[in-house]
Amino acid sequence: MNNEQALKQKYQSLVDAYHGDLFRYAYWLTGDRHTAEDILQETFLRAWRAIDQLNETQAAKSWLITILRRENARRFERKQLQLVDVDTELLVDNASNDNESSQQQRQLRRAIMMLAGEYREPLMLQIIAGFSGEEIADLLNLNKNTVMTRLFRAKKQLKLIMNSDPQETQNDAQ
Amino acid sequence: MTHNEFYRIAVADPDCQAPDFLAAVACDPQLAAQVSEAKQFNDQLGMIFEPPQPSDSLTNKLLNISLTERSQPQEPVTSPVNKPAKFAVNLAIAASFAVAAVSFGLLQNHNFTNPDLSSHAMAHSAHGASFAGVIDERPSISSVNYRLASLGAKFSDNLTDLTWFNGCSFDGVNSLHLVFAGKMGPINVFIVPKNGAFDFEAQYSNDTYQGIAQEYPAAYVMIVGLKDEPLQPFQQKIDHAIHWNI
Repeated sequence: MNNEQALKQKYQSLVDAYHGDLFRYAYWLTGDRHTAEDILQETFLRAWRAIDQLNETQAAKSWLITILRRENARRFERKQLQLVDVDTELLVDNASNDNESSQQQRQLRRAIMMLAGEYREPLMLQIIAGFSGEEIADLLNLNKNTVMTRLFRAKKQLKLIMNSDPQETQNDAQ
Repeated sequence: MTHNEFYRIAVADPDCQAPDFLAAVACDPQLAAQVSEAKQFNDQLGMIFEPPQPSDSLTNKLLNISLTERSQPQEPVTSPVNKPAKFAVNLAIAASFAVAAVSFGLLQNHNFTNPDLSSHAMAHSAHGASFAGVIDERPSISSVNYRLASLGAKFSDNLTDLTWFNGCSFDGVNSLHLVFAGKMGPINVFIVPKNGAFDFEAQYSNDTYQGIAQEYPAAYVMIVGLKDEPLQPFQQKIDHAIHWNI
């Protein structure tokens, strides 16, 4: 196998392994499926162009997340701030499945999107990407204690919402 | 570490593997119960974050990227252990939020125009003279077209003499910078989306450069060459090679 083929194989294994998590991460970062798709394509295009810089396969996920975050930052450079609602596909009412649990899930989704970015991002990195507090601190260039505080507060806020009256919470969120 | 600090870790990062935390959990049933509850909550959040799934067509697009020619990135992609670069990313994100917020406020009351797009094109050409197109990287037209697709534009395959391209921030607007081999030196081409209400001059020059600007449906194309470069034939070449789908 020549070098170019080896790089291609390496790249394709990255896509297979991480594109799902990265897509979800981009989606929850932006709140919009199409924007998430655009960012993901830009991310993997840059990853492909720089694939020979990736020497440690175990660092691949952090490497891709870093590229993705940079692409998201570029998006803000390119465009005016846009207020994007959570995709309606995630919030759509399903009458046949409208039990207490699904109602609670909808409230949680709304609540997650309402979290301040500084709380939501470490939470996403922990839940979607499975990073430890230390790894999140490294990725976000934050002190580990700061990350732990943000995770703590994010979860406390979400718990409060879950334990409050569903109707009241829904009204609050609107 | 105090009990309160262990409790906060249990809530924030129940999978924490720090030896002192694990030791505290082992001898404190209340803390162990908190860890268990926090893990359940993480599982619940995991279900919330589970959708959406990427579509098959997106997956195929990502895989097909490796069919395009790979060229060296013009700016280093951050290594996961490169802390200064990470700081720059965070700074960029913070700054972009701030700039976007301020701009949003300003744009409520002002119809912003940039009267100096032509000067920017020449300044950008001078700035890139030491690196942009110095080495003929022979980028593929398909890789350029991949970037142009978001503007609804593409170059025909027979476009020749392209030596370099990269994205660039053109007075805050994310644009495409291409360099072609001209007769007298490099010719810089900037494709600037009409995100801003730019003003421009059709022809412009300074002591070193001359330029031509052309307005297209979705973008301005700014061509900059050295003073003695014949730019009109080159501008026609670009005009024939670029196609707009919108």
